[in-house]
Amino acid sequence: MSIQLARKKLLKEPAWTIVIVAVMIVGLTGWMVTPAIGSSLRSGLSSYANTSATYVIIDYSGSPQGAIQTLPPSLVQEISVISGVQKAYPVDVNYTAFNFPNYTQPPLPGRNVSIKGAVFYVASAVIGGPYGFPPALIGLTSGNLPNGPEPGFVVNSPLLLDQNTGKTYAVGDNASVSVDGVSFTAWAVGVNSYNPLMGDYAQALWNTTTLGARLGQNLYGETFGAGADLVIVKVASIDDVTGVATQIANALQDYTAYRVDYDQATVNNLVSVETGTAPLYELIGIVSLVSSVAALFLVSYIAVNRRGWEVGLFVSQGWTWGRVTEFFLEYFLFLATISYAISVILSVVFSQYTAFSYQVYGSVLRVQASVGVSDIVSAGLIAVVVSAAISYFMRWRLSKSSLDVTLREY
Amino acid sequence: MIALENVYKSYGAIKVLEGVSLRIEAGKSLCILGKSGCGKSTVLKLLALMTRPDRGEVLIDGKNVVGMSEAEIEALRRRSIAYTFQEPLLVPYVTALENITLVLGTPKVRATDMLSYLGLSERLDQRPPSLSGGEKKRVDIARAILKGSSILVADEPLSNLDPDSGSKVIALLRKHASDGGVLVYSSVEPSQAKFADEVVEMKAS
Repeated sequence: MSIQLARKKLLKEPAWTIVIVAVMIVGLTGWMVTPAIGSSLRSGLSSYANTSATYVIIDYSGSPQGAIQTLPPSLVQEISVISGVQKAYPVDVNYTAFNFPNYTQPPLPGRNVSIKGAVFYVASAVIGGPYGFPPALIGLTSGNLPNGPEPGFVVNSPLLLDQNTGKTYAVGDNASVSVDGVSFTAWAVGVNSYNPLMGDYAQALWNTTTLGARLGQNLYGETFGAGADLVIVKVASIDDVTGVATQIANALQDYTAYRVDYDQATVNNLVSVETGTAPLYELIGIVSLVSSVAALFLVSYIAVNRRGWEVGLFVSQGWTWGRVTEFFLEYFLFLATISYAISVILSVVFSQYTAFSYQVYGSVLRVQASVGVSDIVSAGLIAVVVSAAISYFMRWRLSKSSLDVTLREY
Repeated sequence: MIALENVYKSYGAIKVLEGVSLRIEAGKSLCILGKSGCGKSTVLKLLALMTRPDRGEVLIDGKNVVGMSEAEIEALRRRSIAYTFQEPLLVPYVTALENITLVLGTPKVRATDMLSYLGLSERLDQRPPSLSGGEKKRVDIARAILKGSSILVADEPLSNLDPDSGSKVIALLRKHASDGGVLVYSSVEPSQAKFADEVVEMKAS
């Protein structure tokens, strides 16, 4: 019976229904969306940081001409035991010439002569082996690793362009290449997921069998096994990256041609999100909820109090205070259910249109806000708890007055 | 049996009742007659256990209820007392019929029969804002009678009623007393006192 009364009260008093529902929607939506933005930013950036930015690169920045001073294994070993370092991968990077005989170079400034044919030198490495690109850092997005003596290469950077088309090599694309003067036709067999921190330092990845067979073991050894001129250092946590980079820079004092590189922008963004942005959004969510609950209490108080006699009538007709509470609970739970349903829809829709862009190393990271299951569940629990709190508060408030006083307000 | 013994009641500085005593036995009716503002409604509210006296005793079946806890009084009121208001008090967002079925839990058939007897068969589905004062009054009285309590306290039950409706209401009230219940009602009209077994006239001091 009281549930029917509660339903009719809700339907026949549309103005109050709309006001209470609107206040509830503001609170619940605020509660779901703002912390969701904060946690999405945090998890989006953390996820990116932990998969892509937890690397420190030691890279040869001297002239590629002449003899390159490689880094000795003892130094690589020293770096690998720095606190926070998970693993250090020494790589011998060399150059592969990609030949484009039909490519027409644009005229030089002041000259009216076009040059047909071009050779592009691309940083490359072999996959695996003592100084090869670590297989652990290969996660193919398409294709596969080269098989046997197959003259295939893995595209490790979107900057590896087929100059004839202006597009990045895709699986199956042919290329005329030469390594250490040995020319052959090769084709792309796989594309690695791009990490700008290391992809641009070794854009084409070969298999050892192919190059060993093409170059002969001596030349192959001189070219790709002479020593490390690139070290990829995997750091355990994004929080350690800056410290590890500093220590590596100290260890490289005698190797001035080498520089230390890491994703400073992501580290900064993550620190900013973790220390400022995310907590701020969470705070906004809490403030939004608290102020809405306060407003809800006020609106509900006014809505119920203006008809305190209604409860007096029920009690005079034999209702227990427990039944009065039940009536309020049903009424406010109806309102909360409507508000909650609308709030969930609004929150999901709103989050779809909320995305943040972060400048990261060599790219822009787009983080999409998303309302999580925990946000939705917690909002539902809050709606129930607030409804119950208001119901008990109203019952308490009205039961404090004598029936005579309650009815006198009529 | 219901009785007041030497009851005093004030609202702030205004003394409404001073040393009032009265007694009604089961199966009897009492009319409290008096002009507006003389304290009739206060006596009725004391008898209906809606308020407590400042001093004196309120006896129900010989037991003084003044010392009882609020919960005990509520339980007693719920069990034994029905009350009709001077200004009919109805839930505005439900129909005349639902003011009985949803508020009391009375079966729809019984409520329909009672309202039809009181001439409201065409108004069952109307909400209070579209009912006249007399129609509201009849819904309020029907609800009080259908509550089925042994003590029926009615504040000016015949005001705003046309003669035909008034006589039907009187018949219902008298039946309540003749069935063994207690009926106490108030009126400003001396002519309406004749329906009661006993009459108490109150005067403002």
